[in-house]
Amino acid sequence: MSATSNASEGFSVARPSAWTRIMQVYRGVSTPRMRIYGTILLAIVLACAFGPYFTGYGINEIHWDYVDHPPSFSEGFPLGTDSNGRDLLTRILHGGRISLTVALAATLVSLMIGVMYGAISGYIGGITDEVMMRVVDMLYCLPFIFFVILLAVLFGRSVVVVFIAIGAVEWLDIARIVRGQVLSLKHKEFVDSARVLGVPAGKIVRRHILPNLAGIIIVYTTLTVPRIILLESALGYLGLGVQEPMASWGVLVADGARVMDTAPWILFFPAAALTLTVFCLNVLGDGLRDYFDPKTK
Amino acid sequence: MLRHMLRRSLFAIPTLFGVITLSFLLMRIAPGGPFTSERPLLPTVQAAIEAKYGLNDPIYIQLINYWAGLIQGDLGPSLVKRGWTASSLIEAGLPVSLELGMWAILVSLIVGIPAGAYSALHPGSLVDRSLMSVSVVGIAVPNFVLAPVLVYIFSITFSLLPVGGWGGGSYANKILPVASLSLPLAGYLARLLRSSMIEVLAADFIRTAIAKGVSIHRILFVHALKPSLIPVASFMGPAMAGVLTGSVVIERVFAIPGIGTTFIDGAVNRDYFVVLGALVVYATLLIVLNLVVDLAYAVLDPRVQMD
Amino acid sequence: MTDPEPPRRMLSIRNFSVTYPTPAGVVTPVINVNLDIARNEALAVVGESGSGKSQLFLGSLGLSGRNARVTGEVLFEGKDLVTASERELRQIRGRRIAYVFQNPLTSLNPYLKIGTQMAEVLARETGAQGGHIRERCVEALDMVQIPEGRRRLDMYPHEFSGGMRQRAMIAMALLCKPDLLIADEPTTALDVTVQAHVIDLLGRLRRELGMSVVLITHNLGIVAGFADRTAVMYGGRVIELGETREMIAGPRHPYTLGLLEAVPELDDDIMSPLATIPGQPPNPLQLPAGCTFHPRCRIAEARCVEDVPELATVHAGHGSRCIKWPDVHP
Repeated sequence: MSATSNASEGFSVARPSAWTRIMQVYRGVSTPRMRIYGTILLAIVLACAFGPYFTGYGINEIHWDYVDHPPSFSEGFPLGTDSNGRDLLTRILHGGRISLTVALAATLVSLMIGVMYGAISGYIGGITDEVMMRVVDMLYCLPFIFFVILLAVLFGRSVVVVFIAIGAVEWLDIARIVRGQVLSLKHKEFVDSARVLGVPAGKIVRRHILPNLAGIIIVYTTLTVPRIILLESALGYLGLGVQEPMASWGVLVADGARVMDTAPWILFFPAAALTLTVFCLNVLGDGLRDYFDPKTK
Repeated sequence: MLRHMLRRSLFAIPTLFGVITLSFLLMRIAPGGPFTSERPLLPTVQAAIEAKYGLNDPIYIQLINYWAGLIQGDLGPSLVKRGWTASSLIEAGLPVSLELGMWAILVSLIVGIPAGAYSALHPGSLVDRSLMSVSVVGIAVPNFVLAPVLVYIFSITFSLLPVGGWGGGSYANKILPVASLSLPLAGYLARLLRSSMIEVLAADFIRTAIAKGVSIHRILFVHALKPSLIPVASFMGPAMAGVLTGSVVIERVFAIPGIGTTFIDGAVNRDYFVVLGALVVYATLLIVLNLVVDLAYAVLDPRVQMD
Repeated sequence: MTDPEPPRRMLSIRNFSVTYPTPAGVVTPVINVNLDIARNEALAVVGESGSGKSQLFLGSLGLSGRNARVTGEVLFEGKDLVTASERELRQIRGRRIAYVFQNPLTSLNPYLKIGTQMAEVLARETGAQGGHIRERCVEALDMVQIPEGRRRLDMYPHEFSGGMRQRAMIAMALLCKPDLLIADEPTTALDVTVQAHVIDLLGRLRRELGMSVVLITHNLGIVAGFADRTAVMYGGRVIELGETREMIAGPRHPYTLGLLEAVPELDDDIMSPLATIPGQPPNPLQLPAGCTFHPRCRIAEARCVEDVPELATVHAGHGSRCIKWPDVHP
């Protein structure tokens, strides 16, 4: 088979479709442990997404006769009620919606900003890269929590502020990581070839460099989401996030902490939900990381 | 290596500059001011106060004045707690927070590193698996969840420890806050050290040391420990930042009068100089700590020194 | 056949095997090896990767991996190393028997100075003190022809060149004037020009210090002129053993013959293809029945598959594990 004939013989190299690649990753990653935690996580997400419609209570529905009522199925409050007589289960599920949505959205925003920033900085290199990274270093030194608190206090306490604050700070990590990767990819042979062939820079970045970043981005995302959930909860705990009557898990934990000597379940159930979700995400993140980079086991 | 350190320190200055300026501008841009909260003042009084503190000057003048004062160590007055300076308020809270943070890091190192080392030496054993499970839980549980749970167990159920407060720094008061801050970090350090040590122990040069007849004791402490600690050292930078962050929440949970509380109160009340002062202190702290971590890293890895 | 009985036998390996359980099955890198090493002898152990040549000596010193099981006897001056305690082994390792590993870049601790790594071998000797230890280290570096020894002691491994690192490892092994030095592929990671120097060095040191040297290598080309005797290993067994000169002049095992033919000569026709031994090294999980080499052997026949051949005596001091050894010729 001579090398010069394949063009005319119509050989084509098929790019594996996105679906095939996803299935590949799934098979490689799928250990019993991952499947268990993945299922739990899925259950939590589904419950939070659809659950509030099925519990039969509103999140602000007050039952004066049942204030601080312990869990009891018979009376219709499987997880008990809080200090305002509201069904805890409903509030937890709804809180999950908020926590998860904020975390996901903030992650996506920080991802977009960070990947673009890092890719541009890494690809252009030189002085631009130096300057851009110095800016990142500077922002890195800003004690994050203070920044967020400041923003939250100055611009009002709302989900949006928290969301922007978190997104604005989290992008630093991914920017650094992406830049590092781009720097090392930039000098690989296939990129040099593309450049020599005259492929425009933007296309090189899009078609050659970004797909190779996919693995690292996925790992980063799965490990960032739990971190953001914790951050957002901490802010909620401090009273800086969503406001009444909406509640994220952090707020619920704060509520529960206040009355834990008389009504411990108000603390326990939201705390359990929060911890379990974060735990699952961490396990999944670890598993994905082991798959994409076994050296870091 | 000294040159390396000097270069890094030099970078700190523009960073600090950037941080402070940014925060200053943010505070002034934001809606509201120190006088818009609960107690409305007579317009004349308000005007007098504003004039006294130069709050009506153009922004850049205020900025310059602030920097001038900063260099002399004057962080400005408190606009809310009149009669107090920002410095004195911060000075009151700083030692408390520093102590809390220091203990937290110390305890996490004392607990985490031996645990990680033991696990690395006995992989797969019952102790190893239990330690690793506990540590994973520790990482997933946020410290503001851990804190109330600890309080519930030790203060409410068993009445062993006080529920909160600093008690002037008594040990009883310190145990729970330090535990809440340090245990999750200890868990993380244990896992980090474990995986790092297992990797180092499998390295060729350890086999060489054994073949040379070196004692296990020496192999552990002289050959294996230093390289194993490298990832831990790199992590200490973010770790300390994390303790800083966590301490703000913990101070709230346990009603501890530290800088975090000062900051939050200041932020809520728009006490500009207090807020800025706290920010300056924290940023400086972080930068210094990062330098120390860099130093530790260079000590551990001789290949870095050739910079 | 039993190995020839040299008057001053120092190390006696008898019926020695090393086994490892692996997820895919049990692997036996060393199978029933019998080997003796005399005082002041230079022995070469030749074989391809996986032949068991390193595992043999690592196992003898108790340096096999965690799950390894070792059976047989390894008598070192009367003491059986297989049953010895860790403490007893530690007395012997580094002092009486020294092992020089291949790949000095990874075999030296990159985080410690060379001086530190050398001194710790001496630190356990009674009566050795700081300044004195340093002197001996510098002496050792001189012996392996590393210049500026004093300054080099305070350097880190990455500051040495490849050849120097290998020589530093040899120096480290010499510090306690061991009775036996095992050099595991000391030339593999080095340039060809440096290789010759290292082999010469080993030969010279052996003569000067009167110690025995075992040279483990896959390159039959370097053993002539260095080793008195050579053992060739394949699939975990010794398949030929004898005086080097005799074996090279007249090998009595098809594998040895193949190895010799594979060494290119300076005056070979430049266009002629390189001779190779056809086939692949055996799969340790599924060793061939009978003679392990038979699938690749030119003169194999039916009876080669029946039993594992014994080491037959070609004549005194020369053994071959080929039942057709008389038929082996170039």
